[in-house]
Amino acid sequence: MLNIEYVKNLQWENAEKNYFSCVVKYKEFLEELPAGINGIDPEKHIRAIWENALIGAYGEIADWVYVAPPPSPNYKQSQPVITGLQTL
Amino acid sequence: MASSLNGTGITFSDSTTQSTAAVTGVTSLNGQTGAIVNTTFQAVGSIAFLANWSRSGYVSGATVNSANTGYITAFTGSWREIAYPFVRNGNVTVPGAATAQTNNATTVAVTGTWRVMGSATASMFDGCLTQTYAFAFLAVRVA
Repeated sequence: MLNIEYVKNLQWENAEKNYFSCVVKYKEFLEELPAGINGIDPEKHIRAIWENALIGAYGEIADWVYVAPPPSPNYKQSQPVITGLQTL
Repeated sequence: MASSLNGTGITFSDSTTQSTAAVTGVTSLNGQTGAIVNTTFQAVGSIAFLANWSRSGYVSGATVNSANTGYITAFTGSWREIAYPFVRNGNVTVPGAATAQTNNATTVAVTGTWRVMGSATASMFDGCLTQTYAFAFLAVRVA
């Protein structure tokens, strides 16, 4: 189990509110790490963050914000138009 | 007779065959020493080949920040662990692209922190010119 120094920037990642993302600083790492958190993770430190977050230990969890997928390039329209005379 | 590797396992020079993982006795592997133990998929240290595969192009909210930090950072979408060879019979298969094929892939929730070791992006068209995108990542869980 990793040792947690602090957790910040919590935000729900879905409307069901069973996942959230955050930034975690572990004692074992020099840098802050982005992390996804839920309550059924096999790692104890993730479940600990989940439980602590739900009781507000790291502050408020920001609401989920729907991010629309970027528009896909319309390659279908960019396909060349094939014309020709079929004489059978 | 030299040792050989075949579909049954490893056949040694004394004709014995090892077809399952050693339970005890192996204390080093590729320079790593210590007891070799089974691991839990998705636990720290797991390596997974993950892909989101969507005809709409992207799984909403799923972002991969590999260009900047090399970490998968948000997980709104469902990610699929590709559970069988990516190329089958010379044709690229489409894990999880259709509901009928979901039994071929395992949907996993990506939690913790995963380091992207390599990534690939591809798009293709079917016979109806419907475009399919694929984003696949080889990642190891680090925290």
